Amino acid sequence: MVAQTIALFRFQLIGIVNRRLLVSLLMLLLLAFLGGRFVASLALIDSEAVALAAEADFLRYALVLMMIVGISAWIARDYESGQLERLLAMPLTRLHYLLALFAVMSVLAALLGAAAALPLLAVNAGAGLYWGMAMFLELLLAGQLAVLAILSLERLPQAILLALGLYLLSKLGPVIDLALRHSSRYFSDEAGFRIGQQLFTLIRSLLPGDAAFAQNNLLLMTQPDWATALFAQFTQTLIYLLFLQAVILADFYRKELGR
Amino acid sequence: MVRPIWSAARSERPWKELPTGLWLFLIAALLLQLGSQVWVHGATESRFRSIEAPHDADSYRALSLGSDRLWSYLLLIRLQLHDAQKGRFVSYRALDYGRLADWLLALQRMNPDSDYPAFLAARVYGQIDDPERARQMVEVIRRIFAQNPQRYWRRMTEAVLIAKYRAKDLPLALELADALYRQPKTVSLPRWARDMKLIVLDEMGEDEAALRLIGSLLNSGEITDPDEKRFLLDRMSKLQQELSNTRHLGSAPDVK
Repeated sequence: MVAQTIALFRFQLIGIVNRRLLVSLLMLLLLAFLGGRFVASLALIDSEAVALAAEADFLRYALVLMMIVGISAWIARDYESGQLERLLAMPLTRLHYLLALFAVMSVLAALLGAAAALPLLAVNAGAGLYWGMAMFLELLLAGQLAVLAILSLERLPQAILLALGLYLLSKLGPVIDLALRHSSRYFSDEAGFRIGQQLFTLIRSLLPGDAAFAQNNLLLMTQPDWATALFAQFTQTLIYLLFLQAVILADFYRKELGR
Repeated sequence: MVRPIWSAARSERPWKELPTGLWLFLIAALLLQLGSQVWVHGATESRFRSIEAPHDADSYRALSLGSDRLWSYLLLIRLQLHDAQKGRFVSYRALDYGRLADWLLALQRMNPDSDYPAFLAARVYGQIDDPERARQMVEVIRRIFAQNPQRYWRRMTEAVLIAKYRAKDLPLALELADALYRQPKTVSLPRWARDMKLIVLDEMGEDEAALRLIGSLLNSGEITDPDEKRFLLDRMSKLQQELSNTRHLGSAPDVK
């Protein structure tokens, strides 16, 4: 099983890590650097720290988008070209395919995470290491959301929108809480409002928590606790990845792919 | 022979075959677009856009997607650039200082560890030659100082000078200096900061007092941010230049 998964991983890796990806990464890094310099030129104090945090956040969203689009497009291509069916006609199980996919995604997340850490490493090694590892975990999460979306929807635009929507909804939890808190003044007695509130609470508990994402705030703290934040993120990400993997496996096993 | 790329257009109908109604519609739509842009541009160019009231800090924090410290800085930079509109700088007198104070306090609540709001209040907006507006900035600094005296005592010493020389309010300056003096021993302050009353009661001019304060701040070793150090050194050299010019003019023999 291991040998088959590794063979599939090597085959798939060539398909996703290519020159176009590296050129896009370089362009993004250049854009982040220019944007950071612009912010630094405007800030009157703490200019370098603010510029680095701005570069880090820009790269975070750009790379998450890249991960979601890249993974979704790649699986969609496998579907359309019949590659998936050909692969599954070989002595490979669907679990092999998903494990190889996860391994490729990990390599891609590590590559993109390293790119996200580059601007910070040049200035602050601690911050750079933290951001690189935290981005690796966040990109894995985003990639896994993309896998779930494309395997269940089987259509590229809808899958990208769903994966992005789930990612943003996880991050917008505080906005939902705020909206509910403000609304509760007027509607707390209404049954419909209470049902809605419970529904949002349920949706939020099915999404990753705030700690599952790289903490940009740490980059602007004088004495950040990198290890605690990273440990909390690792734990939450691990639990959520397992949950996603279970959902993906269940969904994938139910699919008829000509077998 | 290379075929020109426009050769494909030969299969199209000539322009003169277009119906007159369509021509008129095209011209009218073009004029409407141009007119609307000229009108919008003209209407916004001449008018100064005042600062809108801030929302509460919790809303900004929620909308920042977890990067509230970064967003507090970016919003402060946006606020700081408000006096530059359409490529022109407007006087600070045109700014609504009430709203400015609300913004600074809201963004301070969003990122309580940041010195930026207090810095803007003391070094940028507090330097206005308008007693009422200067007093508003002093109030901002006083409220920020009350949250964390250990962190913001430096801004409070600056507020003392703003109250004396910009707000021209000696009782207020003495009140602020007294607040510094009355800090418990657990708040570690240099002696000169506790004795700000002496500077307030001294008869020295604004430039001399500012020079003395900047010198004390730089010598205290409390300023670690290179941007602020550069800012203070620049201000110090300007003040020294102004003082030496004043002294030079004062000692020059009268020309009869």
